[in-house]
Amino acid sequence: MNQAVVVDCVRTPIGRAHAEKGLFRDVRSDDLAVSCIQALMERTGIDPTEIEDVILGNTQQTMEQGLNVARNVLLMAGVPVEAGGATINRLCGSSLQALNQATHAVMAGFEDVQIVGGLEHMQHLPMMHGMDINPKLYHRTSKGALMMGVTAEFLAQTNGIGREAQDQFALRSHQLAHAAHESGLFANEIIPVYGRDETGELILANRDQCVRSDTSLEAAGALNPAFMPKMGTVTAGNSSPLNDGCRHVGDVSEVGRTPGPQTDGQGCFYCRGWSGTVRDGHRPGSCDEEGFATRQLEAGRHRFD
Amino acid sequence: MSSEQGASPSTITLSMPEADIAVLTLDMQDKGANILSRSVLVELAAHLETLEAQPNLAGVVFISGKPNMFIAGADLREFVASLNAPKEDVIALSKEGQDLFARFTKLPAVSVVAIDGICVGGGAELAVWCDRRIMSDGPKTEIGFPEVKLGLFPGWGGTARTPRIVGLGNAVELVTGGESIDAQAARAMGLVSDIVPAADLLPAAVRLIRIEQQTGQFRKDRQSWAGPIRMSETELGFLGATASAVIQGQTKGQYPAPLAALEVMMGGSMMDIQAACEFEATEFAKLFGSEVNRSLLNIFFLTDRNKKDEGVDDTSLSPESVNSAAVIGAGIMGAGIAAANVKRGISVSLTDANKGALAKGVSNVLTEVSFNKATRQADVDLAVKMAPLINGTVSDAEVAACDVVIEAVVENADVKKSIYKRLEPLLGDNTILASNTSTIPITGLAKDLAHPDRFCGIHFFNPVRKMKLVEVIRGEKTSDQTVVTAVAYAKRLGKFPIVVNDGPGFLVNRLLLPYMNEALELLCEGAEIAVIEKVAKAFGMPMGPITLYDVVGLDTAFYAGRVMWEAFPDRISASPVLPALVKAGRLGQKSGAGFFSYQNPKKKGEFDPEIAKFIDPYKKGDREFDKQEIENRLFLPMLLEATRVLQEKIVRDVRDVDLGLIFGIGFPPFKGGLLHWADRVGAKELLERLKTLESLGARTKPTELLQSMAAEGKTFYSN
Repeated sequence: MNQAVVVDCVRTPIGRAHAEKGLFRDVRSDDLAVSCIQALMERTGIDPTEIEDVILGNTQQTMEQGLNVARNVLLMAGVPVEAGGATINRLCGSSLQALNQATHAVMAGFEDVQIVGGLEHMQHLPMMHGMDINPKLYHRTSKGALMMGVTAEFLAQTNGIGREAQDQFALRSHQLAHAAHESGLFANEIIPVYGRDETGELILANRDQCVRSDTSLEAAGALNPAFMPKMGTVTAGNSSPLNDGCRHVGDVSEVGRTPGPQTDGQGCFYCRGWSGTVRDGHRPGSCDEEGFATRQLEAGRHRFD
Repeated sequence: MSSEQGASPSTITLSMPEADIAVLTLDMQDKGANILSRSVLVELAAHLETLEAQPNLAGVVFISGKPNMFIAGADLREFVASLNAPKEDVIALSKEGQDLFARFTKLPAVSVVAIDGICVGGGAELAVWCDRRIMSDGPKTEIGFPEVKLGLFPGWGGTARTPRIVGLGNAVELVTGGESIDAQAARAMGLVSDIVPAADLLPAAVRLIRIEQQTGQFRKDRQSWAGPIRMSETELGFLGATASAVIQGQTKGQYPAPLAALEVMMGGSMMDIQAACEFEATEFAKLFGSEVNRSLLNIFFLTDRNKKDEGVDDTSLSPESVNSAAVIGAGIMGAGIAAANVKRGISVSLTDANKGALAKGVSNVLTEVSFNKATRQADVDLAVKMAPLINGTVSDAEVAACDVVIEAVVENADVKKSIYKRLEPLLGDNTILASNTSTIPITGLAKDLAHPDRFCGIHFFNPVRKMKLVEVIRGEKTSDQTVVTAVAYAKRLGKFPIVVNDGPGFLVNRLLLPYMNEALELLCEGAEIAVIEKVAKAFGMPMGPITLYDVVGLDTAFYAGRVMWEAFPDRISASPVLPALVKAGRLGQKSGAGFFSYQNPKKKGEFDPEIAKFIDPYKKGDREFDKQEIENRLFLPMLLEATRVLQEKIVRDVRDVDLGLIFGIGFPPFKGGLLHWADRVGAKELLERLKTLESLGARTKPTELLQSMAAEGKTFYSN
């Protein structure tokens, strides 16, 4: 069986899904995806004719993300028409599923070079856009289970994760992300793209908009619960923001010819995600519990000099 | 069988359109609605006995003989008669209903309920006990469990059967929310198998019976619906926790039924159907006859009476038809009134002396009437459909040509009178002229009119689209005919009109003012704003009196109050706090500050330390108040004023007082109305409480009515 490796990995900065302030409020997500693929091809120096498939994760496959957006993106990016293109939806786990699928193809020996990634514009296409849930689903679950904030509350309640613990964890995330930006740790993965700053000026964006350098435990503690008024613990400060952005990785087989200098191999986890039940928040732990294969492909093993 | 015997006419008839199809048709003669009274249930039992003896039957259809009306529920008058029954009897009544309906699930035949029109309460319970349901596509067709609105939940097996058919998540929403759903929603969740035109209901039911006999699916469903609900424990726990949080947020602990219903459904889901039904019956009995149940039943009867009341005692009069209305003054009230007309298909001429205000008013009307609830946006189709009904005009002739002319201009008697003087000669012979004044006496406004008999007050409340109350105010010379027409017209607008005799503050403002005034007195005696607000809200008011000042506007409140201070100087004196705030430009929400400050993006009221500057100069003391004292101070003066209103015969019935306060100021429904609440407390106890307020003088002095009630052991409702 072939060994699959990740050759290189790029992403756009992440913008807030905000109609007045969002970095990408007038930028389409498919354009962001094109930028990623072009950057990936340029950095790896890969011969575009080698690319056999482009698999992109996406949860709202309509409007600017409609038809088969992976195919549209690869064509706009200049990947030859002979390459495939498939868009995958497993909700939160969509891009991971794209990566898994590419890995399967490589390991099985069917294909050698793929680009995988994901795109989502949660401002242009909000989570509930065009949604028409079948009420019969509620024989098995309930409406609240489809709201991630509420499942987070359930997770917090059933596991005794208090407000302060959540705020501290969130603060740590912001601080680490901010430090990473400051020290240039993201410089290699973020590709600068055009966006708009909060005042409305066109900028070449290279920083995540949702990382807050100025937050504190006091500021986080002052926020009201976002999903369960009064008694809840999950706030805008300690939960994931709604974002717009895009990320792509090149996935190749060990034996595949992967030219180009300085490509860092990255670790990749294989696990199956699922959404739409109350277990939404439990995912990583459950993978082990439920016996799903969690396998780390050998991190950093491949460095092409 | 009993349906063919006996002297009383049968309400359920059995027919056999085909050899193996039985049809039970329910039609309560000489009644507009079908209700499941005890006698109807006895008849049903007899029919079921007949059907149980027919092994070759393929199907039974249960249908109503009335168009647009399936079953409006159980007989609430029978409920009221047994409110004081022992718990065992209540449990037995539940079980009787459950056992009766459960017989549908044991018939050899498929049972199908065919629903055209409203199917609620006990009717919906009967429906869910049958194997299948089909509904007509008529606009009035709906199914639901409104029991929580009466402080109860379904007690004939509805909480046990419904979640087994549509899933626990959907059933919890249906039963704890109490809102009916239409045929499409019912079909989407699997409650209904087919939707057809009303005329096709019976053939469609027979078609469904044939299909079910072919697949045998109904037998599998019977088996699965007899057992516990299969839902993982985690999902069950999650549903319970989230639904409970939502319900507690909505009911604030004041309405126990929805939470109790949730607990019954959660508990019952893990049992077989029989145990779930027994659990339901036991828990149902706990709510039956509770204070909240009694209060909400009272409200049901209050509103029911209002719907039937024509506004005068002379039943020989019938209302003049109103096909067009004119509204003078295109401000907030005028535009609101115009929109209420347009929404009910009554064409409106809206006019204003100021052309800019008129244009804005017409635009406001269109915005409101084209609001689509489903999309929460203006709907162009609706706007196009409604636009012909609104006519912005400056022509007196167009205004005068309407059947009802409502004046809603500034609260200035001279301005109003000059408008009447100009328009009255142009009005038709049957046209009603009405004022939307909230403060100016109607008799005085009518003084110079040629036809004061055709003049009255039609007082809408702000915001018109939300407030269901309308006061129809009789001046001295207003005719019964005018009142009857005004009442019928207000009902056509979807309002609950109460007829009030002319007097300061009419009914609602007259009763509100002592309460509002007392809040200011309390402030000057050292009570804290937050404490006053908390007590009022704990009592059940939608907001505290201090917040209400800010919402109404302090200038408006001052102006409305003046009428009362002038009329009743012995018991109500103007508080100096209001004019001080008005003078400083603190007019309430609209000016960014009143008692509270509204200097934040969401315009939420925040405590403002500056307020002390306006209260401290008038402070008469500074002490702590306990909750009961504040509650007594706020609500007893209001109650005493209500007894004076009754003594003066300002209203025709005590029920008008309760209805007026519930729909006019949001008096807590779970207390059943001011006078219902007073009856539950008792006149003697009220006198005891008033004794603690003796030192306040005239405004807390017991009235004759209250004293005689206490002496004779009477209640307001029994007087």
